Amino acid sequence: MIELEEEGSMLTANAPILIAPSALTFQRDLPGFRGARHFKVEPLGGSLSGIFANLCCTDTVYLQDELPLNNLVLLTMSPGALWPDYEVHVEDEMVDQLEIREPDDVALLVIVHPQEPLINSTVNLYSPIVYNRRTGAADQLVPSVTEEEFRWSLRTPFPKE
Amino acid sequence: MLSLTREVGQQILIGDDVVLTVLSVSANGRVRLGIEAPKQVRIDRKEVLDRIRQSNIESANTTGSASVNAADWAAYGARRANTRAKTSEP
Repeated sequence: MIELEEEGSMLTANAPILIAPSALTFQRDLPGFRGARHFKVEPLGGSLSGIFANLCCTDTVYLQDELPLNNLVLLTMSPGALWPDYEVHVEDEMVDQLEIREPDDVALLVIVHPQEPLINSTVNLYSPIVYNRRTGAADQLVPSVTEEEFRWSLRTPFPKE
Repeated sequence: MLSLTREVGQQILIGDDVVLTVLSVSANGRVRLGIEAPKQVRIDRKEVLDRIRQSNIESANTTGSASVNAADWAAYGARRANTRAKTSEP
């Protein structure tokens, strides 16, 4: 269930949902990649079906130093699947730009920094990708507050054994 | 770089519709700026955006080199299932 609560001038989004195949159009280049606006979301299957997805860019992309980058793929996951209490504040401007009209419109993806084995990976919970499930409009959140911690371990949610 | 000297309360107009106002300057050198701009104009703290940019690039560089193989998924899924079972016990 997605919650979208009004809190002052901002909305709180928490979307613990399974990822479905979709096409996303970013409102601006994905930070770090010039020209990267159109992506396909390809959920990975197996025992964790719908929790992880490859975010595959379909544009010609250039790194900031002007090097063309072939096959830009980012591993992402649905944060709510591992962290049910995870939520982010989405400001009015973003709600307008993504044409979010109702809570069910919103979905979140967080970018994984993959390590081997997978359990050693870290995840950027600081600046999730927010997208409109109805239209595919997307943007990466740039929070207005700075945090020291930027990446969280996949191990974080597990209770101590 | 264009350098302008402004006092508290004075403004700078960028283009036709972006207005910067110097709101206050503290003794420790912090400057508070007010920014009025159309909604489609992005305003981000540069160091925050730079960090996100760098993180995205690092994550993309490693994707593909880390083999997200079936055994990994299975082990990860089993551990999660195990954890769920433990936490749901009375």
